[in-house]
Amino acid sequence: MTEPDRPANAPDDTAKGWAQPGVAGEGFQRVHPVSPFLRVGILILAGVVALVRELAEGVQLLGVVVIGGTVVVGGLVYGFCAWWFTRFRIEPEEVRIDSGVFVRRSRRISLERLQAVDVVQPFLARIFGMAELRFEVAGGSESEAPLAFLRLDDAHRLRAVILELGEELPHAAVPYPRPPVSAEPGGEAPAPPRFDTAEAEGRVAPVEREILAVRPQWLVVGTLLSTELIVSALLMVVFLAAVGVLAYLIEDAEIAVFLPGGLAIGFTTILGAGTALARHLVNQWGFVLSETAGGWRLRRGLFDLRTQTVLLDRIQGFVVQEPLLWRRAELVRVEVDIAGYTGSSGDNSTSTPTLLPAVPKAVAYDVLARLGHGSRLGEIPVRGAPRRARLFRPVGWRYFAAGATDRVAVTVRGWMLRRTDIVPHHKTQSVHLHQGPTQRRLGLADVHIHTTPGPCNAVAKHRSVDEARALVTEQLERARRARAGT
Amino acid sequence: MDELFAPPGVDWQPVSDRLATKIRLVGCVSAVVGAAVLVAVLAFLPLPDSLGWLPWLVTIAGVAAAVWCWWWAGRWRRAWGYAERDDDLYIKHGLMFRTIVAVPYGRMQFVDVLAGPLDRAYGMARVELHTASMQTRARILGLPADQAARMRDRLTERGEARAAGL
Repeated sequence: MTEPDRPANAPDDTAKGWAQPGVAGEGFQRVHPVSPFLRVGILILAGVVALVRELAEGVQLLGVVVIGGTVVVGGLVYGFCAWWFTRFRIEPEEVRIDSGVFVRRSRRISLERLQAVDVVQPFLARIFGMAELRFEVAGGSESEAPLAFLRLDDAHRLRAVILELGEELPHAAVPYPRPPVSAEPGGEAPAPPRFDTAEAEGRVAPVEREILAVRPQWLVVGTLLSTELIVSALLMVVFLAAVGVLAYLIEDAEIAVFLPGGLAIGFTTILGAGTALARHLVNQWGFVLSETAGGWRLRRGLFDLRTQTVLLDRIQGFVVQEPLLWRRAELVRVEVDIAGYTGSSGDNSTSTPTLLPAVPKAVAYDVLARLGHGSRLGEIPVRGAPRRARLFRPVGWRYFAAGATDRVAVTVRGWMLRRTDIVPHHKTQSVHLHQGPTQRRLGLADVHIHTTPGPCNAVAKHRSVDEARALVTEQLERARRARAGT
Repeated sequence: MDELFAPPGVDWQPVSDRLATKIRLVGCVSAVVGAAVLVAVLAFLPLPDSLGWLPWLVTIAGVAAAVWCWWWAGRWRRAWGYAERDDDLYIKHGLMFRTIVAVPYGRMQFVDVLAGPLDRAYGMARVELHTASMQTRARILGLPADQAARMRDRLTERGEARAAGL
């Protein structure tokens, strides 16, 4: 395959630092040759399980083996073809991935728009020391073509190099005013973007300092106190009680027919909730947040190990959530908005922007304080909503609050699920002011501070009118100054 | 209460009065047509004599809706306003539910100018600003077409001058 459109400054030995079994010429390289086996491995496991079950039922062995073998061999052949035709190359401004057996696809992932690079290790790959590299790009609806699989240390090095290249580009994000990382390696001179794998590698020595390891008991307490579990347990108890009372009251033999069914439904409900929570627990197990030169690194997972690196400059907003039951235990959950990552943290979604799954409040505030928000979260001056807002929220009005430092704007709301939304001023996209008819009569208005899509959604609800207007003007002014970098 | 929607230093620019005309046209035509269809349906239904007033009621309601729309469109048009400041664009709109949107030029990702068939017949266009946030709903309805195009160019120019990374 000839490359007439290759940038002139891309050296031919682009991938010299990445000597791997599958070097494909022209600076292209392939993922590790064991990949097709790993991809098909799951299929084989499923096949073996099915085989055992069929054998137990006494079906003839030969037919099953023939069918299963055909599927596995076919999968392997296809997997091998897919592996052979998948090549990637790192260029000064983009990562290029060519793939596809029948339909050729050439993707270019612009390093400028790169928001995060994740290293994911599915369980099977983890056993073999392999990892998958995923790219999160601003404006993309999902992860761009993952590179699966690479050797784990290769994946980490590749990620470091890619992130380093991205940071050097001129239109990278507005830098976050953060205290310098003391362990940052030298050589931070603003050199023009050029590509030198070896040099980049040297600069991004794997310096990693642990910020926080989430203790198992926090996760367990957080899971046990989660609203889903308590509600489904209560439902279960109510249901069982109802069934029992019915059986007692109606001393009819026929009603007993429905009892096992009823019990089954009850157990299924709690089983469903339990599975979801167990999956959450497994996904978040061993959560470690650490600091590297490129950003913050999140590592988690009991079976599938997932490593996400969040570039601090790309964080668009934070939300600190305190569900009702967690408040007694002083636990909080912190999620972040990152352009490119969308949606809130589903349990098994591939890209959960969860910064801290369940940690004590004070610890979370300490972690957030490292981001240089001006002052600790608990000490940022916030003002409550006026008392007349209780017409809208008889209970919740007490929890409405809003405030700002010279770095961030903060809004608090919610009674069942209290949330504190934090928007750095230089990430403010636009400011809206809303007023409905009833609010007009009461002299109240809402102020929305908009950020990129994600869990963070800062709304200062039901502020008094003059305060709301002042908030809009001041927020715009603060955002302007923050963008100008003063 | 008006100080909440007071102009931000610069006066609010009004939008074209033809916006009200368009809304009146659309509103009145749909009210009259809706009423006519209902009356026609009623005429085919075997209504008891005691319900003979029903078509009249529908007719009156349709006319009332048309009249109300006529009156409301003018006020609604006057509720629209925008102000181009040095660093940001303010837009206000709405009568019952009032909104002010403020978008810094440096945050604009792109600007759309849109015009439907009716808009074009009236020589109007609508300008929409998009930021990286999906929630930003910044649009100005009913700008004269040439003004809309000039505004788009101006906004783009200012956006480039003040562009800030994500």
